[in-house]
Amino acid sequence: MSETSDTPANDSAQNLFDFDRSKGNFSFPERHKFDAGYGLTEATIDYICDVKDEPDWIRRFRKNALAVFESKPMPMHWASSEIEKIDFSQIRYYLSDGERPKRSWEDVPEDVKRTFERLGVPEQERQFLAGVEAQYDSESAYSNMKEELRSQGVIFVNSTEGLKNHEEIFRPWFGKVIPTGDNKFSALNSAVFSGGSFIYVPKGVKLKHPLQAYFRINSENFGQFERTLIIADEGAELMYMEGCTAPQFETSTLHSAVVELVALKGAKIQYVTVQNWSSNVFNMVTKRGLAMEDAEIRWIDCNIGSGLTMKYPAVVLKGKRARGEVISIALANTGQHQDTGAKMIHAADDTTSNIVSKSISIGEGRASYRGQVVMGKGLKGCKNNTECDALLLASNSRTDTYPAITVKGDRNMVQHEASVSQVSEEMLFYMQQRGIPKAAAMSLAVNGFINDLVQEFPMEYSVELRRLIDLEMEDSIG
Amino acid sequence: MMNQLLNDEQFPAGFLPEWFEARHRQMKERAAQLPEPSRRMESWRFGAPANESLEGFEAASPLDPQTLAAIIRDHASMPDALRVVYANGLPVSMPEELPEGLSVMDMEDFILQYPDLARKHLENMPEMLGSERLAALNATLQHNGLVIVADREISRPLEIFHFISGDNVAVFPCTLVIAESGGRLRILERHISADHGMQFCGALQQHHLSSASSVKYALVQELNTRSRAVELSHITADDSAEMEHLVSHPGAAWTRQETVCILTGDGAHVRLLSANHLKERKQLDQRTYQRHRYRGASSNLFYASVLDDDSASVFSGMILVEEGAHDTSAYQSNRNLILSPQAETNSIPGLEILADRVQCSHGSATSSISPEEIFYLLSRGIPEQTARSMIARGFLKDALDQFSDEAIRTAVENIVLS
Repeated sequence: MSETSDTPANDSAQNLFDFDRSKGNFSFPERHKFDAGYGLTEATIDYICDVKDEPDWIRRFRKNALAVFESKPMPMHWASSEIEKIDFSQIRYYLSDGERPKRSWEDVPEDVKRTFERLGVPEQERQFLAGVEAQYDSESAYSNMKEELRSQGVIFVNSTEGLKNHEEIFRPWFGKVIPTGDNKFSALNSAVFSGGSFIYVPKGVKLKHPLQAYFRINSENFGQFERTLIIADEGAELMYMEGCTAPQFETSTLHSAVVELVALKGAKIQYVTVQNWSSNVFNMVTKRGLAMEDAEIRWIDCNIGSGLTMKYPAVVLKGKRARGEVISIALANTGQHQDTGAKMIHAADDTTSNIVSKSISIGEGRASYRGQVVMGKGLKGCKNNTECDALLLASNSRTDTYPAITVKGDRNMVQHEASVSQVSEEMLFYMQQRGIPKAAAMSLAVNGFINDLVQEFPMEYSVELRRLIDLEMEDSIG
Repeated sequence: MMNQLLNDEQFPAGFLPEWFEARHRQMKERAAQLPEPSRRMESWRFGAPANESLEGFEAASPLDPQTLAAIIRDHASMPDALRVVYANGLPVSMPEELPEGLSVMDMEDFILQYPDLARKHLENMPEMLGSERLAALNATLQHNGLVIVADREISRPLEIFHFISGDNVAVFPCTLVIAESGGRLRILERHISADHGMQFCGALQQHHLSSASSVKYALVQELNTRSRAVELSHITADDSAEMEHLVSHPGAAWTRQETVCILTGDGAHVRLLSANHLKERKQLDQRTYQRHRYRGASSNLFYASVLDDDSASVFSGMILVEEGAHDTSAYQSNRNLILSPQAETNSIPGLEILADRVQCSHGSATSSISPEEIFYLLSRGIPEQTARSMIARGFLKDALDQFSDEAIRTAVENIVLS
């Protein structure tokens, strides 16, 4: 950019990048009524339970999870050594202003409202969303759903409300898709979870409009541990979208969510994530869906920002003809490591899965794909297709691919392909020759690379996505 | 256990140069100190590391001349080949007349005759992919190893036999191939069980290719079905060097293969091939590493396996393109054809790319024979069993055909596809 910005001919490139860079990078003064302090002990958990007035079984669940968390080692034998830098004693595990989520936008405190207004949350709801949940640090600040859905029996609440008021619906599945001991970070989340969305869509109800959640970390040294559980009953369909931001702080911040999806017979769940964390966020998320007979689960995942992201959305294909899909785009800039991927566990006949992953490494960024596909013994007719494409934009960018594929038996089919490429000099030359400045040409090439995946995102997300990518590429081309 | 295997009184102490004796001591210590491989190690993911234990094995003793003569009679050579025979780890027959530019000798002679060259190629222990302990053990016995040096084109192929005989015996074949600038070699190496005893073969082959040299090397492991094999290969290829490396494991109950190739020069080209038909309860565990340290080199891996009965396989391959190794092209392809409901494959293809202008890809595919293919052959009067075996052979041919030396390829096909 710098080399071309002084000529008038490059206005188009300027316009292309004319985007408020500091969109997510602002914060408001902290005013927390409840603060569990730094570090994690049983007392922290008691504090959270007392503040939230939770039943005993949740307290026991949390304390058990704490013990599991403490007993589990960090996955050092395969993970990036960056994770050693997480200092669990320097994190604040619960912050809240003690107010109940607001049902009306007017009731939301002014500064919180300004935060979300800047991120465009209520605006989106007014336009087309069926429901919105906005989480500010530990608790949701605003939660609303269209009346029409409530009358159909759709439940869309935060985790506290879900477990307290709808225990009979959520408790049977809570912690079943991702057990506490699944990994160190799922255990941590189980110990201190707060906020997140609990959604139940009754039999046969098909949501026409998406539900949305917005997660915002506003306080320094704060760890956000939201917990999401979505149950789509037989034949139900829904799309859920989440967006994540945090301002740039001096010290690093931890985001460690657990997302469980349950798609009962014939149900469909689409889960869309666009994250734009600042580069000192450790993003350690465990996401897994359970797909019963004829059900379909799709994870559509876009990872921009954060210092280190480790996220491998999974689908357990438990019922016949279940289908799982992961579509992901990762963008790693200097100082960032996007360690993302997918897991497909085939556990029934005629199940199919598809993984398409595209990553872009800019500057000294590192993008890794890590995946697992398993087809168990005695199954037939299972199919998996995996494609991983990486684009390197600078000579010191890095990309890796680490898939693992296990197939038992002779009636299944798996194919995996990965490739690495660059934006070719010829392509850039061709466009520059036709008067397109280099930066714009680069942007076009990158957009071309991810184009077929971006189309999978809802429209306004795909627009935002392109802008975020352009923004990240700024200053890194030359 | 170690002392039983090492036969230390056989080490020619005080006779070889000090650096080699120091290396021998160092390797002995390493072999004793390194931990046993475990499944928790990333390099043994999906593997069965307990099989690498040498518990219960002892050093193989030399064979009596009559047994040996009978064994040699039973195994015909390739036509026109220069033949080297080892039995139970010791050299028993070397080619008598060698063409100009070719040296074939045992390691002791090599160290004494070419001390500088020996030091250059042996001083650093080659990189391994999980079997460091076994490699160290092999290196302590390396004084019995075989060395082949060529500095020009050698028209006749070499054929190396390692016969193993006895029950509960372990043998550690070691081959060092040095292709000097302009040297061109073709080699077939065979590791063969001569009887039905329970045996362990822990082999190490090193190939050093100087600029503009060429080595076409095939290894066939033919141990009996009670035995276990570890086959470690290490290849370095300099400017414009060309290596073709084919491995096949028709034998052994359990095999671990580690192949490391390091491309250190512009225009170096390495082709790594493997073709295996696994039957009964055979387990094959292959690990490969294509490491590009210098710009402009290319490597191409193609590993194919057919899995029958209760067999199981692991393929784990990594391509590393180091910083600055621009203009690299590196490919990796793993194909598995599963013929039985009990067979299992695990595939871990990997890429790590730290350079620019790189063409890299990997692919892994696992499938079974489609009903259409069988139907096509049935409709032409071919019985189903024959049709299946034809398809399996064709599947392996894809890999074998990429090995360009016809004489060696034919010899390998006769063993592997029969």
